[in-house]
Amino acid sequence: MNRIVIVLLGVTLASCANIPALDPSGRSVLEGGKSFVAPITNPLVTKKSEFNIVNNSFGGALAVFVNFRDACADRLLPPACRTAVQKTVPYLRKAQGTRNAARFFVKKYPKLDARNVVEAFRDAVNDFKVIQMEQGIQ
Amino acid sequence: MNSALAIALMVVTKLIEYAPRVVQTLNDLRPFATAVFTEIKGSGPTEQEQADLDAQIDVLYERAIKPLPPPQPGDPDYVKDK
Repeated sequence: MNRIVIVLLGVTLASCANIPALDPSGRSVLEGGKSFVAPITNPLVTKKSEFNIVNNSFGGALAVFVNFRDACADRLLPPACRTAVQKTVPYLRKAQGTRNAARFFVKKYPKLDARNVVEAFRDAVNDFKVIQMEQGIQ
Repeated sequence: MNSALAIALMVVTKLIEYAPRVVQTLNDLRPFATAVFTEIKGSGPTEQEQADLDAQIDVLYERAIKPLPPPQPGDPDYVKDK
């Protein structure tokens, strides 16, 4: 009886093995192609466009910050701007760190779920934007 | 009359001083705002355009983390030598 159970378990587990796609270069009917056995892109995977939206939104916030910083360095703004810049830079560094991690992941594993790294990047960018607003950097 | 003239002169001076900065900020900001807008609309920038934006972010970042010039008397982070 035990042997039968073990054999059945083995067969069940074997069905979970990673079987190579029958038509790896084909295009699935689900994506407008003709093949019924071609692989499809995981619909849960965060698309690169989502990364690009966060990335470009970070770029916009960064552009505003850089011009504020330059004006502060040239003493066009009141001296208090120095405090604002110094308080904001750590958030900027963190955002850039998460950006690099997300960029690396999205480039290296374009078909894997990148939600975690993109979310971390988005959170860091949001923190950067919040501190910018708090410090009056506009 | 003289004070009104002085105020007008000050406003014009400040405008001349700040206007190029504002224009520069808008110029730096515009490509990113356009990219986000087109991405949301569905078309998005091309691979090459996105690569250019990425490079632009890296340049801006290097400028952003440059330390400020040393503080002078009156600055909040100025420490008087003992």
